Amino acid sequence: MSTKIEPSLGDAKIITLPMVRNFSTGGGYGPEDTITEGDHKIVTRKWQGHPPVDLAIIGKPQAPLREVVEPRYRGTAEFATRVRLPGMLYIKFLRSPYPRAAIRNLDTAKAEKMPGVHHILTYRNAPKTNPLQIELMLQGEIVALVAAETEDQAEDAVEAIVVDYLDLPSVPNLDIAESEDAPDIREGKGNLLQMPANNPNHQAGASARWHHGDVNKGFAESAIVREFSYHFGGSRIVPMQPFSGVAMWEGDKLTFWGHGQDIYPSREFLAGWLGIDKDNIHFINKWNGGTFGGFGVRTAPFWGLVAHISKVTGRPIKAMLTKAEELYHILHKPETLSKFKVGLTQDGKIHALRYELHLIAGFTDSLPPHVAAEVSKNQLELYTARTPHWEQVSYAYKSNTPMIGCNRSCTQQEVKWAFENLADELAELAGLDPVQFRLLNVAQPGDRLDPATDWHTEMKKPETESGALTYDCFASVEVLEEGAKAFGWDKRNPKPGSMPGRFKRGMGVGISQHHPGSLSYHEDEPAFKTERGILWSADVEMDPTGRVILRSALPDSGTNHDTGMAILIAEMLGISAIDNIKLMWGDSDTAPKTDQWAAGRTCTVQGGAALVAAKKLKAELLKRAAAKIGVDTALLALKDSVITVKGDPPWTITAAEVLGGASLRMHGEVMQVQGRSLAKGVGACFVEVEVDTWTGQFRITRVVYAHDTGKVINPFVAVSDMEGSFMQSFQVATNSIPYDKEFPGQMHNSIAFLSFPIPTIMEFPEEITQVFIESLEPRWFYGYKGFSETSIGSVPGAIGNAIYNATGVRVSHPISAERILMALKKRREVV
Amino acid sequence: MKPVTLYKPASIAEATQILAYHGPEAAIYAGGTDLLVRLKNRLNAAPKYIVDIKQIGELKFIRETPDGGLAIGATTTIAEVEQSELVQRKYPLLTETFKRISSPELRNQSTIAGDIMQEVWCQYLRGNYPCWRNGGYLCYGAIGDNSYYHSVMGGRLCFAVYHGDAAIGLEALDAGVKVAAPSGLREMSLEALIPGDVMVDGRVQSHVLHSDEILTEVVIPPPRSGSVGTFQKIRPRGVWDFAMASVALNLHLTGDTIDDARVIFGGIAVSPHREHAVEAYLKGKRLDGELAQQAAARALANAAPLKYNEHKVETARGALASGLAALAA
Repeated sequence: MSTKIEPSLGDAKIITLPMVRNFSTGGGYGPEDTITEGDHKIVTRKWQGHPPVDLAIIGKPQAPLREVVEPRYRGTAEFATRVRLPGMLYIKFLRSPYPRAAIRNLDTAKAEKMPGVHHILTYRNAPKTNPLQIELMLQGEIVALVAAETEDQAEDAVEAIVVDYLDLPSVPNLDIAESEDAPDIREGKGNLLQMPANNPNHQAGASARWHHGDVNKGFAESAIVREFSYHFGGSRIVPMQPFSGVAMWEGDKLTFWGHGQDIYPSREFLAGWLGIDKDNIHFINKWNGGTFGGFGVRTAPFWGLVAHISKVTGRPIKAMLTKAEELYHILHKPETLSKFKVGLTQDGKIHALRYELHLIAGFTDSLPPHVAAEVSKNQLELYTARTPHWEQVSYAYKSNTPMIGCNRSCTQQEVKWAFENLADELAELAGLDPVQFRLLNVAQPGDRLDPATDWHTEMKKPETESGALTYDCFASVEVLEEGAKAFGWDKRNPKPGSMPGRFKRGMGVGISQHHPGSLSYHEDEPAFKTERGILWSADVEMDPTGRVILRSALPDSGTNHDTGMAILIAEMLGISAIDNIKLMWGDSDTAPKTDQWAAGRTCTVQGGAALVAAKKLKAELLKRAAAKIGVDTALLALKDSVITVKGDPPWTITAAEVLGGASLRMHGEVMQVQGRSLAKGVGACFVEVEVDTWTGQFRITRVVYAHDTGKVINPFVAVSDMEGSFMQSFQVATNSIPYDKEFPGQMHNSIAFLSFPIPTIMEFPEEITQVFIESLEPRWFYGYKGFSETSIGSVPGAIGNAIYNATGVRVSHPISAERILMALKKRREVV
Repeated sequence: MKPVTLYKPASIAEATQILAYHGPEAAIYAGGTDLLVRLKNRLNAAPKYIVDIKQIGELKFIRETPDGGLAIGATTTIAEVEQSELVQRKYPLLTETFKRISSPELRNQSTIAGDIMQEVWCQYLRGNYPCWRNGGYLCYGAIGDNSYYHSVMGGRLCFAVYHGDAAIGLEALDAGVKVAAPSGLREMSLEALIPGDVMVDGRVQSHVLHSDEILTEVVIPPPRSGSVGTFQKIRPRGVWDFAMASVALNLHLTGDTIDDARVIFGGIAVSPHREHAVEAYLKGKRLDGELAQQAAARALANAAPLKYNEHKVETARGALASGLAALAA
């Protein structure tokens, strides 16, 4: 028996902003029907010809697609972990116990003779296309794989492998990375990762430098100059679902069941590791409990080894990681030290800002996105678009720690924690309310940025207008003002820690900027053909009965992006109920090539491709109908696969009749290029906490979470997604990586869930209200854009600031009861 | 999981015989929420022979004793104790304690004896470091990262904190246990059962039982009229986590004056820690809002925190103050 989910928005608020703005990254547009963008003068129709007015289904709360959501809860979803095949072998791993070590000797003789063991892979016999290393660069790095009849037999054999390690000096943390006697782990090149010498942002002795104006002159001109520093201990968000891979060969054809954020990129990696044609791989990845950016093919090169062993043994093979093992593979948010020197004017404006970003980059020789990519400068831009003098100098070091990167967004909480603590301290210094301070300094729509003198030099012409950039977030002011109004910010006690008694309440705010889903160009736009980028595609098909099928390769993510895309094509095709749309997904045999979901761009780019395909399908269907009945297509309307011919009286013909027993399938493409992807989104988080000053324990009593959204496709899912966003960022704020304080480089991952304490329902805020500011995006269909990770970076700072407001003590990351308690004790002793 | 041999004895006598035969390489299996994790983690010290006592019906009961106290069988689950109306009526402190053990899922599975007899959760032991409890001769916690799982009240060999919650509440009620051994039945107080890190049959463990002995029953003396109690547990999350510090208070009042007190701290020492100084201080005092902070300031004067865990002392004092405030309210 199934229960109908009644979609309710609770007390969420949706505020729609006016539909016409006279600014844009790409150039101006007015009330007329076209917009012209950038120095390439790209012309498109406003809203792509589909304005966000008189919408039938977009913006209405919808329960998630039954086809996707029910199997998750009924236990019938076929996660890779659940694949069982006849004759299957199981893989277990031997991993390095040291942060850095060399294998002096390795003896598998005893293990090979153990019962059930079929194959052991080490650096000696691993394929050249996917080697195992003799020098091991972090705790948990794979030393050997054992394939056996059962998991227990494989584990027994792993235990029987004898390895003689040479324990080598390592770079396990920032302190050691920046010490003079840090071991060189880059073969004499030094651990500091730098921009190439020919890059304009190259800086001797640092990873990179960006600057604008003259920061020293700015400090000399400032009324107040202060220095601040903030440490972020690192963190990781961990999915509940185990990481798994299953390989099965039939002749030269491989079927692989994977996990992660994509189908086609994984298939290409796998083909590369195996040295085979990618078309010989059937890749299946339908279900994910969540991967959060940190889990996928790039962190799972062992998939290639699993498939290799399957080929060698002639048996299907499954590898499923333990939670402790996953924690070595998942991308981490790195340990980060942010140092600031800030000059303020008398009235509290930031006049000069110097920002030093220090971080460990994991075992990589590439500059991490925290330094090299646009995303790293989001918060800097948010606070410096109006600042005449600023400079960022970054220092990133290769380290013997896990890979860093996207983990529920990239370069968000780790940097924004520092910026939002800073903004609070600067507000207090300037004698301003924290919201007022942010409104005074935050980038606002239409602000002009100068690409010639700062980090925007890498921008291309679609983004620039007469060589300059225009700040392109539509709601940086509204998220603060409307959020504050919904929260009751005016009731905040301005004097930190002054509330009497044991239990103290406090309010805090944080803001965050991120891209809104990498807005791109679709196949009917000129830039699609002139710019190079990542291709996304989807097919929309109508079967002979008139039923619509969406073919989208992207795996389920647990976020219901399929529901969002179904709503989009339902709007385009006049379908009243999304459950009437069939979905074919997560399988390279059934859906066309596309990239990986990431960074909240699924509905913009993959949904855009689906919209293009749906639009073509509708046009072709109406064209055929017009030809069949001999009328002009302008007289036809499509609704629930029935075509109505305007007239008196109107009459109808079904899509099935038009199709005449055949199906109709259309393909749509979107190119993700630099250009519209520069568009920004801002979020704000308002938090009220209550702190028990006797124990340091705190609870979140109220939250208002305000988002710059564009048109909200499905407010029901948006509310639940943003509740999840808050809780995941709460975890980042309150937990760090269990690195050993005395034995550097050792991580304690073995106490399973206690090693990554996912917040529980007990930590959920007593009240949480979402505020969606619909800053309609004129360059895209229906005015929508992405916002899944726009706001997430605002949360840790907001919590820290609320605790400060409550208690008068500012704690370092991660926020914990014991840190609050000890800070209160220290303050009492000082007083 | 490590390969093991499983026995399913039908009686306590049969179980003790098997345990005696295999010695320290055998272990008792009931709820499994500790034992199976140790096997899964392939600890050096994990047992090879598992004696499943779940089938022994005579170990699963909650019943009043002739003197008006209560007896709880070893394999009674935490949830059964937590949900028992009899327990709630006679010892609300015990119900409050058991409600705060781990999570609902684990309470459904874990047993009272398993909670009392559980192995420590030090990250070095669970990470299979060769420590005292895992075939080695070193306490990594004493010299390493002792932020959460190690004693602030000293130790001998192993400094890992005793994390059982049940024993904290039970010791505040002056409970004892019955133990079946090949030589017969013996009884002892909970305080005597868990002295902290002791060497027994060549193993370092928290309790004094030999490898051929089975804790069969927990016995609680009759409740005293005029008693009030509370259990305060401070943990990182509202469910699941071990105590950073906890305290069970059992006060006997005449009017609003305390004439007897039991104060047992958990999560801060290698055993349940009875705080005699605070017990003495409380006697004769009025139970009112002023008392909480005054008593907390006198608690744990002989604490000896390690390098990273001074905060546990403050947390424990906060728990004590919270408990007294709750009882005074």
